[in-house]
Amino acid sequence: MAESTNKITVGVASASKRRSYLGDLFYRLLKEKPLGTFGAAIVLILLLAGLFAPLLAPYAYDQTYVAERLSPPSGTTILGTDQLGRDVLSRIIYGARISMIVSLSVSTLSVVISTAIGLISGFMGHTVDLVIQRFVDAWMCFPGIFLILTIMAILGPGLWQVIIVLGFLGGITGSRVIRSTVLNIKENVYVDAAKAIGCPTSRILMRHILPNITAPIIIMFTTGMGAAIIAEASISFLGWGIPPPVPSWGGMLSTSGRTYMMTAPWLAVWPGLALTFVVYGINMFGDALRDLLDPRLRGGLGRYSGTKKKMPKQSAPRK
Amino acid sequence: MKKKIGWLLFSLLLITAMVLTSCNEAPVTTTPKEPTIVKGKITYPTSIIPKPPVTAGAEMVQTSIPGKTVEKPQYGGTYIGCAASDYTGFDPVSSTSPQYLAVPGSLTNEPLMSGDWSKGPAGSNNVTWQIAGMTFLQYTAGRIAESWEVPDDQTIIFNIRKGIHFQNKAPVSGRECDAYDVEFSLKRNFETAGAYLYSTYRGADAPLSIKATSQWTVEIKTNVGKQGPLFIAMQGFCNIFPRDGAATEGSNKGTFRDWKTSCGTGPFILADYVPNSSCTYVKNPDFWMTDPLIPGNKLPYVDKYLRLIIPDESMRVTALKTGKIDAYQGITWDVAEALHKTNPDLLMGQYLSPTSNSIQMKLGQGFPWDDIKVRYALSMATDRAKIKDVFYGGNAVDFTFPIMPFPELASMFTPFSELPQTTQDLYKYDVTKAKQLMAEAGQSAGFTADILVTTASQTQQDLLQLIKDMWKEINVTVNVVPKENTVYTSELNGKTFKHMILCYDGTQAPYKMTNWRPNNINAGSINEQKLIDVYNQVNVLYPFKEAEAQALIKAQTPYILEQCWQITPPQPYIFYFFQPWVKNYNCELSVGYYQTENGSTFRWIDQKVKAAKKK
Amino acid sequence: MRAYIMRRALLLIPTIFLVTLIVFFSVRFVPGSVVDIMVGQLSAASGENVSRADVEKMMGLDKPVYIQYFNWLGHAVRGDLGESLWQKRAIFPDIISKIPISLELGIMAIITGLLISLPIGVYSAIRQDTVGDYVGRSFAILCISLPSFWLATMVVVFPATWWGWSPEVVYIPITQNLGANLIQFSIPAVILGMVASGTSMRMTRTMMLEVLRQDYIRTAWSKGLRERVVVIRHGMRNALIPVVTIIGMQIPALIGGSVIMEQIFSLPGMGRFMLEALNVRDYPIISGINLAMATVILVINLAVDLTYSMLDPRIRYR
Repeated sequence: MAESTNKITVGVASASKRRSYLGDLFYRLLKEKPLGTFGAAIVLILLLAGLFAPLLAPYAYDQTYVAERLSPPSGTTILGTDQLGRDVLSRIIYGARISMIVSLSVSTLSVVISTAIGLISGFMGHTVDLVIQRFVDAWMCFPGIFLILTIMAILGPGLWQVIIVLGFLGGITGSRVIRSTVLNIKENVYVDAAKAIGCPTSRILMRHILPNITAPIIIMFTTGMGAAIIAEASISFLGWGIPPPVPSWGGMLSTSGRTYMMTAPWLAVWPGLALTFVVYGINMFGDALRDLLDPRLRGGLGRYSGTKKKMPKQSAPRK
Repeated sequence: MKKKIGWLLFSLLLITAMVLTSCNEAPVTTTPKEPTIVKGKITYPTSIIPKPPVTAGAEMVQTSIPGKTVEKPQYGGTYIGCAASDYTGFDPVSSTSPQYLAVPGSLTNEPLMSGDWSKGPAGSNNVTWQIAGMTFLQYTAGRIAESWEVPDDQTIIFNIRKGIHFQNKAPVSGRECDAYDVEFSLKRNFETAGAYLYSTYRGADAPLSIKATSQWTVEIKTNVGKQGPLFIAMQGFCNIFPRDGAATEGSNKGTFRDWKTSCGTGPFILADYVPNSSCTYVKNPDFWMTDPLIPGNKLPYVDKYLRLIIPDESMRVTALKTGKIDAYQGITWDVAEALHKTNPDLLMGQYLSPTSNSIQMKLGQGFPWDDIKVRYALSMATDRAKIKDVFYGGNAVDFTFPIMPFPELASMFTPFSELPQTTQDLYKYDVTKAKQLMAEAGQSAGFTADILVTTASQTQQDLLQLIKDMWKEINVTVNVVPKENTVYTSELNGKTFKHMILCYDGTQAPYKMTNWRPNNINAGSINEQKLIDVYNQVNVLYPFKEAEAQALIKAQTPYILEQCWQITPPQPYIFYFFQPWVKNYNCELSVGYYQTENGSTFRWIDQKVKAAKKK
Repeated sequence: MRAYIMRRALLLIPTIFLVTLIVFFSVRFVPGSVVDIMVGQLSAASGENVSRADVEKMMGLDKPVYIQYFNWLGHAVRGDLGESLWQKRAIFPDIISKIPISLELGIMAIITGLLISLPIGVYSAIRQDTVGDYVGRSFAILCISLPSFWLATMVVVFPATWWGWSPEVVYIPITQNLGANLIQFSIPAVILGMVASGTSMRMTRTMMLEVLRQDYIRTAWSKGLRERVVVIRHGMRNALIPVVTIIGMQIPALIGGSVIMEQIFSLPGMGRFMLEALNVRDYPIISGINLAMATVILVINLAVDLTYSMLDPRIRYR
């Protein structure tokens, strides 16, 4: 099953023309996974909004117009204003930038960490593995939120602190997945063969191991993005998040959003919707990728619904 | 697909409903005026106390104050209060945070003295009972001490009240409380390492000796000039415990730490305690005290006092709305406005928060604001009217520094209009003048200032965002640095913050003059010999020669304001709500010196109203 | 088998030692020391100038840190986690009294999570890429996309305004009133369960998809078995084994991760205990809770691993 990632065109799409790996993935995403495509579109919107926030936002995110405080959505401020008269729309657009930074950095950091730990621990094995795994065990036996709270308390609230905490948390947890994948691959004959012909370790890692763990890495990356945004919001609620006036969605929700939920519901509704929408999109996209990348789920023949379709039309009553 | 559309419709409905509920605004109308002093009394709405409507057909009784009749109190019922966090303990000597301990303290164990209930809003209304750190002899009533004498400047003698019995619990079993118990309790507080009084009154400040000279008198010897502070300390932080309670385990351990064996002479007995969740007190049937307003009425009125710990603010407000708690104080004006609209049956009152906060600047370290002109400029660039009228919706008071406009502080308070014109000008918004002053100080290009603020307060963080925009006008770039509360406290105490800090400015206890002498909470490190001298005089005079001390403090106001050491933004009103069935509730925050729950003794519940409302 | 268990149990020892190091020293790196808060409170109330060294000495924090560590470790080994710095209460009994609250919440949340995730997971696997699959999965994913505190705040704020109804505001012990206790826990449990359901829904779905491709399923089909039999008896049985692991992995996260629910719904559980201790820097409590939780979780993990190996015959003990 391991080499199948390289022979991706054998699957459903084999009927179509030969495409590059990514092109094929994209094609199948569009064709087979409408929800995944929808999710991808949301991710794209987030990225664009984040990148071009200064161009899109009608006002600066921290400019106060206190005379206009808590004004409901209207022509001038489409989504209303907050308790200092700051434009909610602008803050949400800039919030997209923060969410983008948080989710991408956290995912990147955790993927790097888990790949490093997983590769070393899984490939070296023996004593190295034993020692590293004790550390991972020790780390994993704290409930995530306790670790987050303690480390945030040490580092203090802030953007990079949130990224580091969540990155390490996801990274060390994720290293287990990478390690077990590496352990599986290591058992394969072609790795032994490569060793036998005297390939240097670095070459084995780069040529044989790394390509085979791309799928779990990509899946980890996308699901990690969504989890990071939600986790940032939870940290904000507990008072250790990104401090104001930086407009993080989680921060907006947990401070003014909660305080003014009755008086000015738009302060809770818009950041909440933005956050939910984006996390939903990322997750859907991630799920679609997982379906497409997981070699065990590939193959039209084994497909359950495929089987159903091929079956003669019997009148099996569905309840 | 149908399901999907259903969900979509449902969420749309939800949003529309939420937007609709919020669209009509009707501000709470309170227009505080400039405070005026008439015959030593401030006529100023520091607090607005709603009078709960008298139940139709209720029997009225004459109070001890001539001409004042009140509804006849009913016995029984449960009073349910709430707090955000739990007690830090039940034994005063095992905790360094007496202000939180004072809660079980004034309920289960009595102090020597406490505030005189009949002088408060329920009676003659001379004092608001909202400043916890305030103690005046004229408003102080004896509790366990029936009276006290000050024969010379080194001695305090307490005459212990006869006929006070401990709660009927083993091993004390209702024994009468006498001078030996008082001696034991005082000594324990001053001599046990870790106790609050031990930590704060060291060396020359500590009492020389504490001795029960007879069964009903206790004599305390102090150093010259230390009599006053010790007398005050004994009002709040020295609750009386039975001397046989701790004997078995040595004075540091003691059985008082455990709520099950806690025993005192107070109005309530601890019946149940679930850490971090709730504390149940039941009435002490043998409590000695009678209502100072209605002679002959035994206290307390309620059968049970339930104190719930509700950490989340929205939950507290919700609990109030649904009648699950009886009163809640500490709501900001805009939340109060919404609550008043949705639940008009709840009685709403307001009070001025006694803990005023100022932006304090590090002085004497070569920063631009060492120049008085820069400080003037910063003050003039601060648009106080805008903060008051817009940010606080008019629910704020412009001037609360250095003395807050509370009626009990009237003899120390100087109204703004009575200040010299030059001083008044310093506190008026004038950007052109401010720019000019900056130029004169050679700072026309401006500078950058970091202001530290705690993340515990949303309002304070918001306020600094406003001030940041205001100071931008005179080229001062403000970096708001929000830090977690403990880190903030530690930077405040260690003075390790960079430039400025928004923090408490010592207004709770003006006699202490904490901000003008070397002190942990003197954030600006202001060290004025002139004011230190005044403090040393006041410290000796207070509380036995109150009037002289007050005159001394009042005389300093113009000088302090002229120095412009700190920028004090307007002080907001805090709102409180209570159920219509709670009687005798006037938002007393502390009846006496740090006696934060003392008021519960005097409250009563109109059970007919409650039963009617609950339906 | 016995050797395997022994080996796993022995490996716990170095892990727990590492844990003690982490829990003891990490809290002492947290800026803002407990001494500073105490000094701050003492001076704010009294107006006196309080010396930091004095307070440090009173708290027993003036000794070198490593000596404090070995003292603490010595006591911890004997099951004595020390006293809190503020309340001067023994910590161990407090932890014991709080674990059931968090555990109850966690278990109820897992049950709710399974009630949501299992049907959706199985359905969306057997009807992959149909509208039903999309709606079901969207719902499960929406559940994890909503910040739990947001949802909880809405439950607290709106019903009270509209209908004058609110969840219980204070914890009702299970011994006092079982029914009321369950009702009280059900709201936070549903919210937590919704949040947790996403992960197990995914796992169920993936496993189901995988299993349904197996040869024996094809055999079952060709035997002409009814759909229900194929899906439930042949599919689900095998697909749910790894889901058990996921559930096991969720227990610790749910015990500790319910901080937010405990905070909003006033439940005095482990999470809030931890949060409040952290806010006042009560070092012994923080270390104690972390140590207790870590030990519990290590044991649960071991149990889950063993259960898994028993459930899945393919796993060999090496």
